[in-house]
Amino acid sequence: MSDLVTFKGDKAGLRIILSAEAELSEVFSQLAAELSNNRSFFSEGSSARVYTEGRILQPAELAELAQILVTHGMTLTQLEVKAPAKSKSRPNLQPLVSPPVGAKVIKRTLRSGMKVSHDGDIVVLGDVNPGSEVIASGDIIVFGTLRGVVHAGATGNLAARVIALRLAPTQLRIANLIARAPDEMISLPDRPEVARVQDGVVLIEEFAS
Amino acid sequence: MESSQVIVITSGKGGVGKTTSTANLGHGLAEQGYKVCLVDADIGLRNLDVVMGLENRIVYDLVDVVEGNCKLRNALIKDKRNENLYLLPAAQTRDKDAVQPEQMIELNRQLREQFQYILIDCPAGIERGFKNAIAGADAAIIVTTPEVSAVRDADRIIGLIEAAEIPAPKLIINRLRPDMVKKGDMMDIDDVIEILAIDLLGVVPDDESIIVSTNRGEPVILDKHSRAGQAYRNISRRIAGEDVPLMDLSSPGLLEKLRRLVGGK
Repeated sequence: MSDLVTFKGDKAGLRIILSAEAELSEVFSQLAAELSNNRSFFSEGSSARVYTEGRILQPAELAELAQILVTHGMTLTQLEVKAPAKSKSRPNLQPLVSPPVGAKVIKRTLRSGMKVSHDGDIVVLGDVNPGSEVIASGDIIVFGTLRGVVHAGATGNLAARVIALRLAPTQLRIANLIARAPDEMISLPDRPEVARVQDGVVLIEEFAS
Repeated sequence: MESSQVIVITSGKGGVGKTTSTANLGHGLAEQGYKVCLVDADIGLRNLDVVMGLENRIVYDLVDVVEGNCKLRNALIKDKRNENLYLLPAAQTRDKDAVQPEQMIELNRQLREQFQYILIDCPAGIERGFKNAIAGADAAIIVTTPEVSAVRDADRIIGLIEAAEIPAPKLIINRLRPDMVKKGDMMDIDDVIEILAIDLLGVVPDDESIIVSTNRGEPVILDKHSRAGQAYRNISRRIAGEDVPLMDLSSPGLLEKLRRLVGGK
């Protein structure tokens, strides 16, 4: 099996390079295996920068990646889409659909008064409580209950999405569109949902990857 | 607007009912037809939007206005029940230092052009947030409960209000329990007035419906059967200059039955 995952270390910490030569699920399972096998080598709480060789991760895939790293005590601090060095001479056959973005992973619950903003995607491993605010130029993914105010695609990206295990925001904005919670009390959804823009309105539906 | 008035609602102590009073008096004045704006000066610990059920409408806030991120009219939120009533919400992700007293004075100047009554919901404490809230106010309403600690803080606040040369602060005694007063277990109105020695604007009886309405984001003044709501209606008429006698708090049952029998308000 060729190496689908390459680890490199430098002064700034760990770099993980994910090959674009195989199915992503294969790459992920090798990543998880490598991390488990060399558990002592990767210190707890270290930060990881992940590079993909031209592959653009979808929000759900990104979340999966973050989850793998977190399981092994690592935080995803940076994600870059980088073409492999050897392909430099080749013409770029697959133009990037979106500019390279790094994801910010927040490993805590955001409480009232906290505000996180990031140029890229934001993944929250915890709840987003009412009175807190999450603003991203990309997608927002919450592994918990989302009750606060979120703004995805804040720089105008109408393709941005908001995904949460329980989606019950006070207010949800995508690009320049604003949706708010109904005034009547409603029960909390019991399954993951996604909010996205369709035909100029914010649509919320069950999340299906 | 000619003859506009900026009234700060303050207490010193937390949890005595400043925000509840602000929301209810705002509704009471707006019901009388006045153009009213409520300003939440509790930056970083805002509540007025929640009590009024308007939290999900906030896009811009007071700090955005003073920092010039938006126009005042973009930050004003129209109440969902009364079109005379507006809210200027506080920022939640900032702190009191985000605003200077001079900026509050300028903000009040702009609000005076559009509104007849501007009610400022003051944060607890006597620090920066308090100084911001009283900056440029024409009048002050002090809220206290009939407890020694709350009255002590109210006394301190009245001193600071007088030092700031805001004339004749008025008093609201909140959460009075006539049954406890009768047994001598609670300070009565006269005890409180004797210490504070300012004009009494009204007395609001303790009422469970306040808790229900606050959680629902519907001010209790909208509940025609609530005695606390009736008290707030009376107080808001007094603010507007009407002479309304104090409610008889000693016989709630009978009065309540009569009111329901007549089917009126």
